[in-house]
Amino acid sequence: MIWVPTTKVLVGRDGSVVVEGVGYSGSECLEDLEKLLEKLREKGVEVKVIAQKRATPIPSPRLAAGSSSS
Amino acid sequence: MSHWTVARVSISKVDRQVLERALRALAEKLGTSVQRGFYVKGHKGGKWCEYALPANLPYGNAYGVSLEGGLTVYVDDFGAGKRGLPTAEEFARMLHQLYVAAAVASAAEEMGMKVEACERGEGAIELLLVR
Repeated sequence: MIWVPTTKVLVGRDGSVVVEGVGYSGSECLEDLEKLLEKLREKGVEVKVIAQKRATPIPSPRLAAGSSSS
Repeated sequence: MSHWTVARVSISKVDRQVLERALRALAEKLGTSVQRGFYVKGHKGGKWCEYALPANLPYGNAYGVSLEGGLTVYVDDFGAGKRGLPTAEEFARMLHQLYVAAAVASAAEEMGMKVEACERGEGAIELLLVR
């Protein structure tokens, strides 16, 4: 599967946002986030980050010999 | 790789293009349109508003939005809830949410990203910003 770098933004009912970057490599994800926040500030939207974490990469699935899927 | 960021948002100054985009989205939700320079009537009196979304309110004719002294909503919303229309408070909340979503979409487009938007459960709006 080819991962296209994508930033998912969930805007809650109260206008708060949850941002997730997927398919990025290295620090590109945070660089895009910084650019996005800067653009938002230019548009009068002040964003205060209250939590941030880097998710653990999902390990590749192992293939079990003789297994079958239902 | 994935990064999560949770943030609180406030609007310090209003960008007209973003506001108009948000108002168009809100008008679509409410099945109405955006009007410019509209006299918003209430049970007693009224107010000229820069923007308005006409609605069949029990005691009013529209939700008005003015930029005088900050983003302000004007509406006679008495009984609005009984017609399935938002109260002034609910309208303001929806406008705030859509303004943030419109600002994110505009910012991403300026960054050369493709934007896809869809509604999510519990009234949240999800935007996919694709490089």
